[in-house]
Amino acid sequence: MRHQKKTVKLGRTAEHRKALLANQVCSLIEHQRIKTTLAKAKAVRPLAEKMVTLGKKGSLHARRTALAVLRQQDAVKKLFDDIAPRAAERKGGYTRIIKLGLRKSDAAPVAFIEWVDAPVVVEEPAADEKGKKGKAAKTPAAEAAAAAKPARKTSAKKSGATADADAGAKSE
Amino acid sequence: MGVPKRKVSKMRLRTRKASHRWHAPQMNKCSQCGSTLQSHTACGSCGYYKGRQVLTIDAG
Repeated sequence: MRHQKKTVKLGRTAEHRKALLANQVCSLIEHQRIKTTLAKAKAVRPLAEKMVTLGKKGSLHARRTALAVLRQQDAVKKLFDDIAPRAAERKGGYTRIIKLGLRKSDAAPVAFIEWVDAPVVVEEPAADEKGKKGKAAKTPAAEAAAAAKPARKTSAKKSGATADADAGAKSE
Repeated sequence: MGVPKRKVSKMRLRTRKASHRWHAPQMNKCSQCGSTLQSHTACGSCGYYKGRQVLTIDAG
């Protein structure tokens, strides 16, 4: 009987599943937000939050335990240096899952999973007006956290734009 | 062994089966743009969820 066996199996063997979840958590650490199926997002959540708990401990032992699970040194470093300190004041619930409806091809429910404390990403200048409205609704803390990132982004965009302009001039 | 005492009448059978009927999913309106969407889901046409932009939709 499978009473109280809570593991989400995802149709994979244990080793396959562990590798998948480790990869997903590493991607989440690297990109701050990943888009995946709802089932996988729900399976990733507990592991991701356990890793943040390890990151908040910050000891060498915690670091090695995290490395044993995630198997990627740069991801563990980023987890301990960036993501865990950001969540210092939060007692659990470090991730958020946003449902995105059904995928066209196979009608699988898709979702975003992201860090709650991550800076809010609003891409594309086309959505500027909407983005402003969204920013107004944000809490001051989130806004302060977001302030650093968009600044860098806009500068990157500007340099990108000038590079494009240069390229255009050359082609002409 | 237990055996049914009576034949199940057409009405009784059909009333029972009628409860297995398929129902269309309940849909909500997006608070931002008013398009139809399933509840607890980010809006597919304006990218809003819970009063903030969560994803960017390509224009056109």
